[in-house]
Amino acid sequence: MTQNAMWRPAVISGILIGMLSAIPPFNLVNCVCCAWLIGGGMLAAHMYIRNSAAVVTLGSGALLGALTGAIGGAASTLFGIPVQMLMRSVLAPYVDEVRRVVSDLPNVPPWFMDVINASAGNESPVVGALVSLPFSIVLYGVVTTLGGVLGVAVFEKRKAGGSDSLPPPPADYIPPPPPPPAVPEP
Amino acid sequence: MANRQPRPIPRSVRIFLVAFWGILCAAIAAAPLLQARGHDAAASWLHGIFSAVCHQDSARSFAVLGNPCAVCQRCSGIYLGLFFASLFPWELRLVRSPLRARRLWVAGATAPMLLDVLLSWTGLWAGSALARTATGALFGAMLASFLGPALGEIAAQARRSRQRVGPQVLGDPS
Repeated sequence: MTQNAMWRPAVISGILIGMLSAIPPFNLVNCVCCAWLIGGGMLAAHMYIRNSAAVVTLGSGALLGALTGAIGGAASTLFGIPVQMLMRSVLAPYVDEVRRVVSDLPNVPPWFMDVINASAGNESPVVGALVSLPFSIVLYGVVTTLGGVLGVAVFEKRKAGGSDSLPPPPADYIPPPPPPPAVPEP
Repeated sequence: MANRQPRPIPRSVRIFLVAFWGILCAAIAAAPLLQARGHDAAASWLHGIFSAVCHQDSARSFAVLGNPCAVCQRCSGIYLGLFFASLFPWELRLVRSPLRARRLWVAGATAPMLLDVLLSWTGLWAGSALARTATGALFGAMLASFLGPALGEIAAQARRSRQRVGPQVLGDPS
């Protein structure tokens, strides 16, 4: 099992995480301790373990989780653009009303007003997405790494060093050529 | 990599983990402090970063100088658990334990937090700041118990790769 084999579970889980984290109301599940992100990392680990001939270690789980999170962060940003455009067009009539009501309230933190103003702003969602993309990739990567490690801890039943684990090939190992095709005897 | 037992975590990895989670905890507490000092743009920026991973409900967040922290109480507990659990070398015994014990540890550390969430959602229990923080901290400590050995293994593998590649790069005939 090489690191190339990580791509398939990472891409599948990453896109799933991105979709679920961007589309309302599914994205609300992330309010419970980033459940989609940790669950996505665990799902990737489960898929990787199922297809791995060798014992999957915690280190592999961490790498897999980080890869999944990076893909998930990018996917979430991409899926978020049309969602944000749609939400703006739907919510535009109400935002001014909300802004007026909130500004009358006492002790409203400035960052909350920033959020309201941003939701009604003329700034393109694409620009906002490009600005938030690196942060999403890093944050998703960190949380999903935890999920990947957790997935290996929970799903890897084989024991490291047991008879079902394969030793790694040496660095200078060259695999032998395949045997020639059998020629039928006359 | 596949057939090696977990080794003690290198000091550099432990320092990295402690520094990383420490900086995150400091950033969470810095947001309200910056806001209190009038640096609203910086505070908004920190709130914006953490908004990707937390609902930031101010009613369920710790307040410093009257302003809410960058994440909720449960997330604060998780980050604090990750930070404090990374300080001490206690995790290897858990990682080396049999699968059933590992799963029990994961379930035992996750169940209180999920129970707290479910009871709050269903309205059976209003919850408290202490319960949210404590259950989050237990969950964070559990995550740290697996993350440390994982990063230690990656660091050891990277060191082995460098040692293998090094002589060839330098043209060592041996």
